[in-house]
Amino acid sequence: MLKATNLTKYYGKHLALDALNLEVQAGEIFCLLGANGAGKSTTINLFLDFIKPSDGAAFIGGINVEKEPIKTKKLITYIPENLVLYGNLTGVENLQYFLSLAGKKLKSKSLEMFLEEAGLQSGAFYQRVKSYSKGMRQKVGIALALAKESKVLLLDEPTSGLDPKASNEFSELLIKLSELGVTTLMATHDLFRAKETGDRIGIMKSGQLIENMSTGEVGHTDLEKLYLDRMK
Amino acid sequence: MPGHSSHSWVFFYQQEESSSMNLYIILTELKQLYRNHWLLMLTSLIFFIFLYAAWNGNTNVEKRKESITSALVEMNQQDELLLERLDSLKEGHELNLRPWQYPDQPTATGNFNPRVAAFYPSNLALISTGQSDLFIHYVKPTLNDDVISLSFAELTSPVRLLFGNFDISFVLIYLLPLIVIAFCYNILSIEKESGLLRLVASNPLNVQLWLFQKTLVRFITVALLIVGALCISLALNKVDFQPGAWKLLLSVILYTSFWFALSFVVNLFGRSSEYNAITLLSLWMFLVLILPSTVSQIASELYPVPSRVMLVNELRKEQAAADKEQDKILDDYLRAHPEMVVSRESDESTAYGWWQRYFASKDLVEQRIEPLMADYDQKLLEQQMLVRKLRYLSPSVILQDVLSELAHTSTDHYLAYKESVFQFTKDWKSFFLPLVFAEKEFSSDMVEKLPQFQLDASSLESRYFTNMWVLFLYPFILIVLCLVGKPFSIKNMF
Amino acid sequence: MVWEIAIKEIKEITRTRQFAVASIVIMILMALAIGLSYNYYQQIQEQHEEARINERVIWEQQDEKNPHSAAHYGTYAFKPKYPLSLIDSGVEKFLGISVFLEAHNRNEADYAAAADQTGLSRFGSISPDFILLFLIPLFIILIGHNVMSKEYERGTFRLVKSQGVNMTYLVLGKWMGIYIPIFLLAGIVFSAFAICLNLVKDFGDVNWLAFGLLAILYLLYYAIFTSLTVVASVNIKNSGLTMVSLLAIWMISCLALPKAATTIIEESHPYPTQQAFSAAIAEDKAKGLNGHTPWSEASKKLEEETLEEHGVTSLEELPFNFDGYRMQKGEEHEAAIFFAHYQELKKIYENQKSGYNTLSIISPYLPVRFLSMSLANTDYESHWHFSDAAEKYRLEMQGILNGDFAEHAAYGDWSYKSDKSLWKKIPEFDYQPPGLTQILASNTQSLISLFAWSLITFLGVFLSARRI
Repeated sequence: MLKATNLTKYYGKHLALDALNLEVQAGEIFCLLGANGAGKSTTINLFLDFIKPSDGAAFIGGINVEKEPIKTKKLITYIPENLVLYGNLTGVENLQYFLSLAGKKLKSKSLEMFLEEAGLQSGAFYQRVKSYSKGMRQKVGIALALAKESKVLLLDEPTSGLDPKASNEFSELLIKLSELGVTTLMATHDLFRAKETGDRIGIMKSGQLIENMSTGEVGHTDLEKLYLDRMK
Repeated sequence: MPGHSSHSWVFFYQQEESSSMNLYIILTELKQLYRNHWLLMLTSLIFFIFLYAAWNGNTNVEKRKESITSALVEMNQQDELLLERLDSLKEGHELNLRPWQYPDQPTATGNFNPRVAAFYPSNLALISTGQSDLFIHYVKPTLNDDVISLSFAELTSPVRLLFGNFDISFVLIYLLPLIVIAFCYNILSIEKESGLLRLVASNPLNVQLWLFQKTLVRFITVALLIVGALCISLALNKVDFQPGAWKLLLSVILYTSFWFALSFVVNLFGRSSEYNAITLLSLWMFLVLILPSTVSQIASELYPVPSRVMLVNELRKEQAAADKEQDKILDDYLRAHPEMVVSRESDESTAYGWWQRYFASKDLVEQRIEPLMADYDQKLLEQQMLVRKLRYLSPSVILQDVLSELAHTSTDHYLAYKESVFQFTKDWKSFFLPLVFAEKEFSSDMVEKLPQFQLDASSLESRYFTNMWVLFLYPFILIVLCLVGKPFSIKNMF
Repeated sequence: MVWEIAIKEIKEITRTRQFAVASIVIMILMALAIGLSYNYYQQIQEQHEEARINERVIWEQQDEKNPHSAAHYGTYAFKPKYPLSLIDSGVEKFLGISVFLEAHNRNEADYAAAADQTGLSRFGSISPDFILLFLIPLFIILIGHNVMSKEYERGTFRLVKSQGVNMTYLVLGKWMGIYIPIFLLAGIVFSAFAICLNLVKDFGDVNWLAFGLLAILYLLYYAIFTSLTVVASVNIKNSGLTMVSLLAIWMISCLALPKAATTIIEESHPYPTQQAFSAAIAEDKAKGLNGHTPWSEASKKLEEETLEEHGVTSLEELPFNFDGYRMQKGEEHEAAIFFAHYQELKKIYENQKSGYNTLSIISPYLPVRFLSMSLANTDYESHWHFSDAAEKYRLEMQGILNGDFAEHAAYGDWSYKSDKSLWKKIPEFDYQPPGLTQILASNTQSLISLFAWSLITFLGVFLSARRI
C-alpha cells in the first residue's frame, strides 16, 4: 500500500534521507524508530507531498505522490505529534470542516458516530476544542480517518506526551483500524508501544533504514538492546 | 534547491473534484470570525469611524453652504435696495447718499452691488475635504477687482491645515488598509504556527486556493461592512444616491480588494505572523505615507512654482511704470481718493476722465501681470500632470484622485473655479465699462441683465474609468500571479 | 547588571535584519529630506533677500509725489526664513510669506505655498520633521515590540528568571537596550543637522540653544515611545499582538487624534471665514473716524476739537495741515480696530491651542509637535509675532508720511509733493523673531504635558517590572 523506491531528500547539502526503499502492506502497522534527525519525519513529509524528493519516489496505493498529490491525499489521514484543531469550533465542527476539505459531506449523526467509535466521550462532541486534552484531540484525528474511510494513516509521534492510559487507548484504536484494513506508517520514540502495536519495525539512522523486521522476531528487551546497539 | 523537478501549480484549474467544499469553508470561516468576537469588533469600529468621519465632513459642507447662502441673501437685499433707489431717482427724489454712491452711476453699482460668485459643494463634497479648507467658496468681484486683487485664501488655522481632517477620505486611504492588515496579516501564518496547516495540507486540496477562499470570505465581510457603513453615513447626511455614490462604492471595494490581495500574497510567502505584520505595515507606510509625499515632492521639484515673492516684485515694477505714465498731480491724488472724484460736481468731465484713466492704467498693469500670474497656474497644472502620471505607482494616490474628483475638491476644481471667477470679473467689467466710457447712467432695467457667475468645469476631464481600471488591475495581477505562479509554492512552508 | 542586560539586548536588536533594513531606510530618507529641505531653504532665502532689496529700491526710487500717495503705493514686508526651519518647517507652508503695507489697511500675509501645490501635497512631504515625528517612533516599535514577549515565546524567560535577576533591572536593561540605538541614531541625525546649519550660516544666526532644546525634545519623545513599547511588551505576552497594539497607539496619537482634534476644536472655537472677518472690520471702520471722509460725524468732531484746542476758528489757521493730521488720527483709530479684531482672532487660536493641549493627555505627539515648531520659529505664534511687527512698522511708516504732509503742506494743498529724501527717511523693516524665553513661556502647557508623559510612561516601566 505504501511504497518508497530509492527515496532521497537533500536539504541543501545535507542528506536527510538516503535512498529509502520501503514497502508497507495493506493493513500493516509499520513503526519507524530512530533518533531525532534520523529521517523519520522527512519520510512522512515525503509521503504527504509536503516536500519534494530529490530523487526516487513515494507511492500510495500505487500512485506517485509527487505526480498526483490530490489523488494520494484522498487515501490518507495524517495525525501530527501535536494535533491542533480550531479552538473556537466544536469537535463535530472540526471533523466536519476537515472532511469538507477532503471533499466529503456527512450528517451530524454519522459524525457523532465516528467520534464515538474513536472513543471520544459523547459529552465533548459539542464542546469547543479549546477545552480538549491532547488525547481527546488525537481521537478526533482517528475519527477523521474513520470518516474519511482512509486507506492509510500517517502518524508522526502521535503518542508522545500522552499519559499511559490514553496512549494505550490510542494503540488499541490503531489495531482496530488495522483490522479494518488500514495501513499505518508511524514514526515514534516509544519502543514499548512500537513492539505492542506494530506489525513491523524499522530503525533509521542518518537517513538510512538500517533495520526492518517483524515484531514477532524480537522480544521487548531484545528490541531495546538492538536499538541501542544500532545507534552506536 | 538542487535536483527539483519543475512542478507547476495549476490545480487551480482542476478543482472540480472538490468544488463542493467551498460553501463549508465559507461557513466555517464566518463561524470562527463570529466566535472570535472579531466580527463584532470590526463592525463597531468600522461603523463608528465612518459615521464620525461623515459627520465631520458634513459639518464643513454645511458651513460652506451657509456662508454662500448668507452672502446670497445679503446680495438680494442689496439688489432690492438698489432697485428702490433707482426707482426713487427716476421719480426725481434726492437720495441720502454721497454723490459718488448714487446707484445710477455705473462705477457705484459696479463696485457696491457685486454678484456672489459661488463654488457650491457637490453632492459628495463631504467625503473628501481636499483643498476646500485652503480656499474660500465665494467671492464678490467688483468693478475695481482684477486678477491681482482677488484673493481666494481662506482664513483657516494653519494647525488645522497641518494636521488635516478626519474625513471619509482619510478613513478610506489611511485607516482602511490598516484594518485589512490587522484582519489578515496572519490568515495563513497562524495556521502554520499552530500546526493546523499540516493537517489541512494533508487533505486532497490546493492550499493556495483554500487560502484564497478564506481571504475571499474575509474580503466579502469587510467589503459588505464598509459598503453598509458608507451607505448609512451618506444616507444620514442626506446625500443623493446619484451615479457618484455608486462610483464611490466601486472605488472603495477595489481599493479594499487591493489590500486583501496584498495580505494574501504576503501570507503565501509562508513566513511568521510577526514577519507578515512588519512586511505589510512597511508596505502600508511606503504606499500610503512615503510614496505620495515623494510623488508630490518630485512634482514640485521638477516644476517649481516661481516664488510669489518674485511676483510681488514684478507687480511693483509694473505699477511703478504705470504710475510714471500718468504724471498729473490730480491723478495722483484722485487715485488715492476715488471718492473725491464725483464730489466735484462742477466738473464732471474731469471726473469721468479720471475713471477712464484709472481703468486704462489698471488694465495696462493687469495685462502685463496676467502672463506672470498665468505662469503660476501653468506650473501648478504641470505639477498636476506629472502627479497624474505617477499616481499609478500607488493605489492610495489613485484613490485620493478618485475621491477628490467625486467630491469636487481637487486642485483642478479650484483652478477651474478661479479661472471662472476671473472670466466673470472680465464679463462684469465689460458690462460696466462701456457705460462708464459712454458716460451713461445705470438704470433699473439693467439689473436683470447683470452678468451672472457660471462655474465653467468644462476643462475638467474625468479620470474615473482609467483609475478604476488600474485599481482593478493591481489586485487582479497579484492574485493571478499567486494562484498560477511558481514562486509561491506552498512547499516552502514545511 | 542593567548594563549587561542592555548590552545583550543591543546586540540582539542590532543583529536582526529588520534593524539593518529599517535603519538604512531611515538614513536614506533622512539624507533625502535634509537635502531637499536644505535646497528649498537656500532657494527661498536667496529669493527673499533679492525681493527685499528690490522692494526697498522700488520704494526709495519713487518719484516726487504726495506722501499719502506714497502711503497708498505702500511697500512689502517679507517674512524671513529661520535656520531651524531646516529641521521643522511647521505650519510655514500654510501661511503667507509677504505682507502688503499700505495706508488704511492691515493686510493678511498672502501667498501661502500650499495654495501653489497639488492636492497630493496634503499627504505630507519627505521632510526631517516627518521622519523625526512619525518614522522614528515606528522604528522604536519595530525593534522593541518583542523585547519581552520574545523571551516568553522562546521560553528563555524561565531560564532568565531562574537566575534570580531583579525584574526591575531586567526591564530597565531592556529599556536601555532599545533606547541606546535610538539615541545614537538621533545623535547622527542631529549632527547632520548641525553640519547643515553651519553651512547656511550666511543667512542668519543659528540659535544653538534652541537647537539643543530641539534635540532634547526629540530624545524625550523617543524615551516616551520606548517606555510605551517596553510596557506593552511586558504586559502583552504575544509579539504579534504587542506589535498591533503599539501600532494602534502610534496611529491614534500621531495620525488619527490630531485630525479628529482639529474638528473637535473647530467646533468649540470656530475660526471666522475670511469674508466674515473682513465684513466685521469693515462694519467697525464705517462707524468710526476714517481719514478719507471729511464729512463723517467723527471727522467733524475731530475738527471741532482740534480748532478748540488751538484756539482758532478755521482749519486754514491751524499751524499744520489738518488733512494730514486727520489722516493720521484716522489711521490710528483704524489701527485700533484692526488690533481689536486680530486680537480676537488670536484669542480664538489661543483657545484652540489650549484645546490641543488638553487633548495631549491622549497623545504625546501633540506637545512635541507644538514645541518643535515653536523652537524652530515656524509655528503660528511666530507668524503672529511677525505680523504684529509688520503692523507696528506700517503705523510707524504712516506716521512719518502723514507727519510730513501735516507739517509741510498748507491746508487743502493736495498738490504738495515730497521727494526721495522722505522715502529714504522711512527705516527699513528690521524684524527680530521672538526670543527663547518668550517661546518657552508661551508653551508652558505643552512643556507640562511632555514632562508628564515622560514621567508617567517611565513610571509605567517600573510598575510593569513589579508585575512580572
